[in-house]
Amino acid sequence: MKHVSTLELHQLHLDELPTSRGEQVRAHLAACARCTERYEAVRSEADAFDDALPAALQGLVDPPEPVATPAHWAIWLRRLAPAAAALAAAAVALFALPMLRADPASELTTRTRGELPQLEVWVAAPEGPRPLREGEALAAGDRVQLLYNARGAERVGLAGRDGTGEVEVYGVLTPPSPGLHPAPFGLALDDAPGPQVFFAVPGGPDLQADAVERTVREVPLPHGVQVVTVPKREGRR
Amino acid sequence: MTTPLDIASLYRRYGSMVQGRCRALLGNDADAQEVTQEIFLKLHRYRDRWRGDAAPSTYLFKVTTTTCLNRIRTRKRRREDLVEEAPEPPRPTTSLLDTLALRQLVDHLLEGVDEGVAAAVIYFYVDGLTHAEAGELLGVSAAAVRKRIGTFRSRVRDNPPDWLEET
Repeated sequence: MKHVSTLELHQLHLDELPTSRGEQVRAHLAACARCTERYEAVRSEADAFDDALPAALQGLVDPPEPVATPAHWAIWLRRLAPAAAALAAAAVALFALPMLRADPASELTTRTRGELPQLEVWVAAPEGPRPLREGEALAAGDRVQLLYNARGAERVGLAGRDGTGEVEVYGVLTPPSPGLHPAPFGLALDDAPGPQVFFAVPGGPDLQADAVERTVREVPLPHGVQVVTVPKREGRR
Repeated sequence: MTTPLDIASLYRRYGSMVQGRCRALLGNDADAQEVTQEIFLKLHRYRDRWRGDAAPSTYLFKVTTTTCLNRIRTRKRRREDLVEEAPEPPRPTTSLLDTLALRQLVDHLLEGVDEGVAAAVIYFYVDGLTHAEAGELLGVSAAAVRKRIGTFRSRVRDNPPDWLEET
């Protein structure tokens, strides 16, 4: 018998091999020092592994309820509630001003095609989460949170596209109530070149991820899709 | 696997496999932890596409390989990252190659090797999969895997690493 594959060593440890194959693999291990050593490495990795969910995955445990969003976001949203008017004014500035700029790729730009829906990008900063500033560029390693307002749509798909054209659908969400809600997950930007474009795609109760992906690839974008374009800078956070 | 995907359970059961594989291919803990989180985040994002036609361990093994190869390519684009990389002490490895040989192989994979070829090379030389098993993961025939490995051997023909001569 040739050496046992790495995948089968893991499956043996996870007790996922069919009985007969498991017996063959164990018999090989008994006779092969190299594979025994590799299997011990699998076991020691498992023993040393901290299986507590990392912070980035915590928000995925109890979706889709937005209350599952990491507590600090909710706390900040509550803190900001009294300043809603100021935020609304800032949002108007954010949405309106970029349309007048000559070079949309050089700064945060937001354009609304129709009335649906609203999309905001917040960034994790040392002083706490805050809306992305006008003209602010992000870097690999930055953590962002999307906030959305379905404005009457039954479901909203949130997606992103990096500078290479790769599209990711982050989730298709059902808003729990009217108004602005944080998406029940955070995002960490990878090393892909910018700009990073975020989309909010409104839809009916049957909206699915594949339809969201098809929509954001359409040129021009269909009516009602909200787009936020964020420039990226070199280096990592 | 059935929907809805329970990411917490998957992480507890398969997290060590994913992270260990990331560490072996990427060579350091920081990247391994980051890519592990990225993989489970993607698993969550694309959970609607899960068909359950492969065991979770097989699916995650494949996704981890692809994601690590992408990360290796990103490193290539950003040479400064390579300069800043500090080698970590060798550890027991699940790979058929020792740590040094694995690093040599990764270096070769940085030399413009096609993604499909790179994955085939990893599955065959590092993981000990047969051509047929690698083909199953890659969605190609065993003959196609053999051809990809031949392509890699041709590429390094002038300066073959020691481990290649022994295999």
